[in-house]
Amino acid sequence: MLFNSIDFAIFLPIVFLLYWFVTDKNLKLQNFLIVTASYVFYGWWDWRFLSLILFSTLVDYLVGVGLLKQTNQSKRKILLWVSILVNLGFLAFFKYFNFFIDNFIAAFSFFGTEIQANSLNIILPVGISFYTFQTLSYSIDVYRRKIEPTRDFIAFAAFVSFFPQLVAGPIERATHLLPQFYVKRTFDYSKAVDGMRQILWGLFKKIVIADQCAEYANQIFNHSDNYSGSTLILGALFFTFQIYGDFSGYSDIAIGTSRLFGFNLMQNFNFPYFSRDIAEFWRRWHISLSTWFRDYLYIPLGGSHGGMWMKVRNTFIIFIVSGFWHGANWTFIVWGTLNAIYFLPLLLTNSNRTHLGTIAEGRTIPNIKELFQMILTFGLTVFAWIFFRANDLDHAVRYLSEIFSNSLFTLPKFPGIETAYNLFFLVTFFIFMEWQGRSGQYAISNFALRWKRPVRYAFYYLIIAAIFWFGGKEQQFIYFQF
Amino acid sequence: MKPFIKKILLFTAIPVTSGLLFLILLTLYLKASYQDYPIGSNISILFAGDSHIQSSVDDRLIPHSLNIAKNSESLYFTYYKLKMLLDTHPSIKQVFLGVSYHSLSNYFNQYIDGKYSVNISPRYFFLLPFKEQIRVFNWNRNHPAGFLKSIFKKGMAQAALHRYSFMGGFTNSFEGTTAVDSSMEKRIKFQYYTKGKLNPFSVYNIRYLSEIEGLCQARGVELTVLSSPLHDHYYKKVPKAYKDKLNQIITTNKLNYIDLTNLPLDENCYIPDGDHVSFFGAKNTSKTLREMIDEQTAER
Repeated sequence: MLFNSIDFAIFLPIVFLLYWFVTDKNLKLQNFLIVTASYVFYGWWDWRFLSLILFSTLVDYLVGVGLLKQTNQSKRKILLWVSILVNLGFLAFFKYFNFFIDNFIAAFSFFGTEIQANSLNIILPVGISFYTFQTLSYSIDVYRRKIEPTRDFIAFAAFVSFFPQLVAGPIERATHLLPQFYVKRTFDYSKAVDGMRQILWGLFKKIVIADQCAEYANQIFNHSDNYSGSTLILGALFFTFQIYGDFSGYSDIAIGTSRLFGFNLMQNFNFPYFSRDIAEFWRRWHISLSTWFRDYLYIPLGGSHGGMWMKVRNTFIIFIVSGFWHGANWTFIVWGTLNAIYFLPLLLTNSNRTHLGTIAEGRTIPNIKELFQMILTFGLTVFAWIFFRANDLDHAVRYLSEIFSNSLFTLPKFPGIETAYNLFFLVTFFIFMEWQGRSGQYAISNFALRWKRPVRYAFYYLIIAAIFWFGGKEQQFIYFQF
Repeated sequence: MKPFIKKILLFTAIPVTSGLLFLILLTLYLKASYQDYPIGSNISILFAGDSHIQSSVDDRLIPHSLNIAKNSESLYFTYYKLKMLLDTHPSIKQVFLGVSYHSLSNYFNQYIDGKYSVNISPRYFFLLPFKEQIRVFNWNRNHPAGFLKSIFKKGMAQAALHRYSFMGGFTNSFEGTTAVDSSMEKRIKFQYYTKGKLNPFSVYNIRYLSEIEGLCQARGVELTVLSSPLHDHYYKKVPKAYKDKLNQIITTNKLNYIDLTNLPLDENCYIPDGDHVSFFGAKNTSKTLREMIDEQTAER
């Protein structure tokens, strides 16, 4: 079920009313409702994949129970490996099997040996990368004794399948989300209103910004051989706003929806395009995944202990793995590596933690230095997104070669460019709103709160009108494929 | 909790009520404005139908005529369009209605109550009586946002810019094309078969053909059914059941019929799908039609 669909618009109020009016007296019943609703939500795509979630839930629950009873360290390790192998096994099979087979064949044929192996027609279950990482975090944290294993299966199933963040995050930690299923939730008016506002802004980002940018980005990327360098830059810019609007919009809707049910999810995006260097960008982009890799990969690998070489090696590993997490394609691996290369100078000069606060805090506009840093970081990010969006490496190279050709100095031209100018105004408005709200949780979290109600409502209606005007196509979210 | 729900309901009620009110006012305004729909007083002949008529009858070559055909237009919507025009323009004396074999196939239903309804029905929404508007809403209940948006856009364009999306008119930009066997076969499959099985007849189009006949009779307007030219290869592939059905409808209802299906045309008179003519084909078709109309007028 898509957040931007009529199905969800019907589903959400029904679950909300049942949750607060029918099951509110009984915590177990309330959790059970969440599990049922989440399974309906997920099964809406393809009910067959429910068995995967159920299996993953069962395995990690039993591993948790096993870890509780087991004191022998090597047996505890075996239990942890069971969880890791099951979860990563699912991922490896559903997401990476064909990639490995194809590359295996290609590698052999490169050395002159032809081997016969057939790739399988595998459908990637929606959001598998998200919920497997979430359940893994539970097993690892239980193993590390950072969290008590749960004996409440329903609460655990609700934690794994919690529908607002099930298919595209934020990837929650058991330490943060699971305890919220143990305590009775009480309805908080201001939290719910804030949740609604965040949902509204998320829908605006998705439908008005991402989906509109997607139309042009797809057109330019899909026919990139026909366009000039200047048009291709425009295409990369469209994709830059598309992916941000799409993914952060999803996160906003997920977080806002959770708030309606009395839950707090972690912030997943913190205005990343206003970053002053690439390290800051990665502290602000897909925070739940970056911190996951930090806690469960970077630190176990030795983190920043053990000298500069170790730091560099570990940084490259997490960026490459993070790239690979996004998809079984070399383009994602190059994208990850490119970001690691961007990171390298900051690491070598020990300046990767220079910009920890909000840019231009307490000021309306940034100073020249900040502006320059921001533009440079944004430019590097746009460059890297070309690899992320390209169909394959050859496509990315052709795309970039055309950008760095004489055609860069011609006027951009593509069918529908006239209507694309309207999008320019929307994106400008969007950047303005994001900039003014950059110290909040999301752009409009504090906006217009002190305005008189009719004016404030008028502003919200304007956003709704834009969503209504540009909506109607129910476009998929990009990150579902990951 | 209750104040929250109250506030949400109030917040939603404001735009819903005002949107509804706006839609009602827009409908009333447009219905009134159709009275003054600008068709020249010298127009006495209308050519109605779907893309086949739209692309094959160049009304500039036929005096006192107007091509109002529109692509993907089913006879259900043609009926309401003609009703409005005949009610408000007594100068119209003759209607040529495009009906070909494909018009009888229920593949056409996807443009009425099926998956393309969301794109097609908003064009005609304001022409429809209230009962039919509700019906159309119901057909598009799975895409309410897209449908409502389209209605508002089309309504506003009609009210503010006098852009009547339902009107159509001659258009054909195909030059230097010929029919292609594979395209024709694809087209035949699309129009007459679903998963290898012959499509049933379109109940809507057959019913509204007779409604149009009744409408013309009641208004004293002469109705002639017109089948546009088809490429020989396409024609041969049309299922016999459809050929028989069209013949049966024409003879049972004693309809005037101009059959240009087998009009001899050069290869460059077709576009690849073989059931639409190119610009040259349109020129030839229109000349033939003009001769026929002139002959008819002389006989009277």
